[in-house]
Amino acid sequence: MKFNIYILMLITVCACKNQFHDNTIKQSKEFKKINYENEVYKLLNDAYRYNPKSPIKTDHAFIYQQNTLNESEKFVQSELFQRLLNTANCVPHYLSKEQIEQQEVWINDFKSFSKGFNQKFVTNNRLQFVSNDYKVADENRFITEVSAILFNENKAIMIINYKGVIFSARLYVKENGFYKGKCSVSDPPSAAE
Amino acid sequence: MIGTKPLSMFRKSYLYYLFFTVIVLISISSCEKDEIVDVQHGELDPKISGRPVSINELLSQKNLRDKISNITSRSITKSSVNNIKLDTTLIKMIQVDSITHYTFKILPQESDSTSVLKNYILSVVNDSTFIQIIAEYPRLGTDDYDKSNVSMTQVFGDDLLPSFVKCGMTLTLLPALDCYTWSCGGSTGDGTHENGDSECKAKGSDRAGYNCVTSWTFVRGSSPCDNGGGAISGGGGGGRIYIPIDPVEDELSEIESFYNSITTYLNTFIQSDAQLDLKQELELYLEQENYSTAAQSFAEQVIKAKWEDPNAEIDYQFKSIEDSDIPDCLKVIIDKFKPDGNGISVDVTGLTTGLYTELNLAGDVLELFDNDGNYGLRFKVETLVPNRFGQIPNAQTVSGLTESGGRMSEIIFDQNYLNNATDLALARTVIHELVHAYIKYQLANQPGGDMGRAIDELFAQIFSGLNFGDPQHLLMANAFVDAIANTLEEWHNDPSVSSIEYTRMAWSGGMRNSQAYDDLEDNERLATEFRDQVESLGTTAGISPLGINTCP
Repeated sequence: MKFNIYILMLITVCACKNQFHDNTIKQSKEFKKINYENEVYKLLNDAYRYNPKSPIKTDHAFIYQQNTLNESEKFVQSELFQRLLNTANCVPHYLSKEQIEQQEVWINDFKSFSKGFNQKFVTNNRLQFVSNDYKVADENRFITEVSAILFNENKAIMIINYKGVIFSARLYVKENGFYKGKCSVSDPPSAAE
Repeated sequence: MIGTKPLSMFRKSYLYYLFFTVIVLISISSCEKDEIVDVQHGELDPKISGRPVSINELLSQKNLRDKISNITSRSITKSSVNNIKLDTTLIKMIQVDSITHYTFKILPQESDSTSVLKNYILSVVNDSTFIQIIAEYPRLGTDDYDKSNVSMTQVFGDDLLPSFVKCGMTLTLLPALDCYTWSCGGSTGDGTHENGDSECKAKGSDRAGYNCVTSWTFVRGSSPCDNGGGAISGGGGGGRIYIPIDPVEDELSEIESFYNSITTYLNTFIQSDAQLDLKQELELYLEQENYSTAAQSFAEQVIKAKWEDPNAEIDYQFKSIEDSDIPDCLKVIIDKFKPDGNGISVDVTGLTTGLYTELNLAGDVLELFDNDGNYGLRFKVETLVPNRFGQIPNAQTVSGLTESGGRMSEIIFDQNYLNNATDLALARTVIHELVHAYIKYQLANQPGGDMGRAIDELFAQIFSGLNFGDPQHLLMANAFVDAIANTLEEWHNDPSVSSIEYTRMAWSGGMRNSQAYDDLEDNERLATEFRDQVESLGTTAGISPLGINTCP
């Protein structure tokens, strides 16, 4: 009897431990999902805030609501991403050897991200998510699409495109709590002069 | 009788010969001033200076007036050194300790051998004592002489007569190197000029700089055979007078000097019969430009360009060379920047005050190369190779010193870029490369100016890791975006195009590797790169460019 009670207690303890472990994993995944989403909006809010140093100052920055962030992983292998890590002149200043050589460190929980940006998470009064049929009053202003956003530690890489014709990959570094753009490369690459 | 008469005759003839011998000995000993030359280098330690003097300056000196006017006013035909006539266009004055030596070139006469250069040296020992020497140098080539094999003859009087057999001094060449600052003329020449500088030319000499006497001769004691007859004193060395043997050579004409200054293969090329027209063209240009250093430098580049590309087009006015591979479509773009074309100016009003003042770009960049001269431009087309980042440049500017001391920028366009890009992109590239050429020009001409200091500061920032990119592009990104944009807008002259597009076009090449570019908003950077792609490739995914592809 005593033996049976011990066995029962052991099974109960194991079951409880398993349940605790499963909960921990679920909680961790939930945390990562929320973290990626939070960081995406944090990055967008920071990247598009008013920059007094910018030679061209506009009231609004437009981004299409529709995004492809849940497909960000495919950009890790892209020529553009590799070129940013290997040729952009600011990269050696900010990224570690691991961040440059091991692309997998840039993989986040992309699949969890919604295909549409939500304006309610925007704290920046310049950034505006617009639908695909939106017309900008000033036709010289560009509306861009966000293709991918990847994080590792306090660094981020955002890839945006215009009409699927030209892509730009840009490295951001979080400094004093704000993401700040450091350098970028484009595809097709720009020529030297 | 026989015994006495012969004795008497013997005594008579003996006395006669004795008397004759004594006279001869006295004669020899009284005149002979032979000196045994046994002077080692190092014994000479003269205080030496020199400059060219004019004939008028010599004639204004009381002690020299008669002497100089006597020997220069006429051909001296009495001398066995026939028909000596002095060339007074260049007289070298070399002061050695307290004695002054003047060297003149002797004008060659028809009967003279062309294989010898003759100089007349007048050493003024004191008001009444002169030493006069004629030096002859074997000629080795057109303007080269064997200075170590000089033959010297002392001459006397205003007729420059050579010495009697025993009356001259033995003049022996003493190799010893003594250099001094050769000022460029005038009684107060300061010796701080360089060969060919304008101040020296104004004073009638382009020889300022450093001059070296490589050999000397010397005399000692008195010289009764000379006119004046006074004892030689002074000059140090126990009465020895050291005379510098420093030839006054044949004057080359300016055009000969130019041809001699350029590389042998270019000289051979321009002297060939096939280049007669080019030669005449160049000589006319050099004459019109008064053989300035800038003009000579550009002329050298013209010869080089024609040697490389017989069909290269030369614009002497704006010092620009367009190789034959520059198509008409690009010539049209470049020519619009010339004042006699459309007169498009590089508008630099957006620059900081310091840079603006220094740039002084009131007119065209090309005009600037004409006005402020020691610089030229050459335009070429080549298939360019990828740079160290694997990017094929649209164009590149190479600058450097030319062999004649001037500076030249070569702007080389990539053939593929030329074929694909619109005229707007090409004009942007022309401006971009002209700004490179101009920055290089400023750095070369005013290294300590605002431009030089700005570049130095950017170098220091890059070196210390506070900045990245290359200094010239950083400077252009910081200071030239508006200038390039405004110039491009003026060039394009299409009111339907928004000004922002020209600003986007202004950001090109290495200018984008800069903090200033990174300060642009993300969308604006993308718009900038998009515009560049569309214009550089002529068309992108059905989107029409603003410019026209004129060089397909």
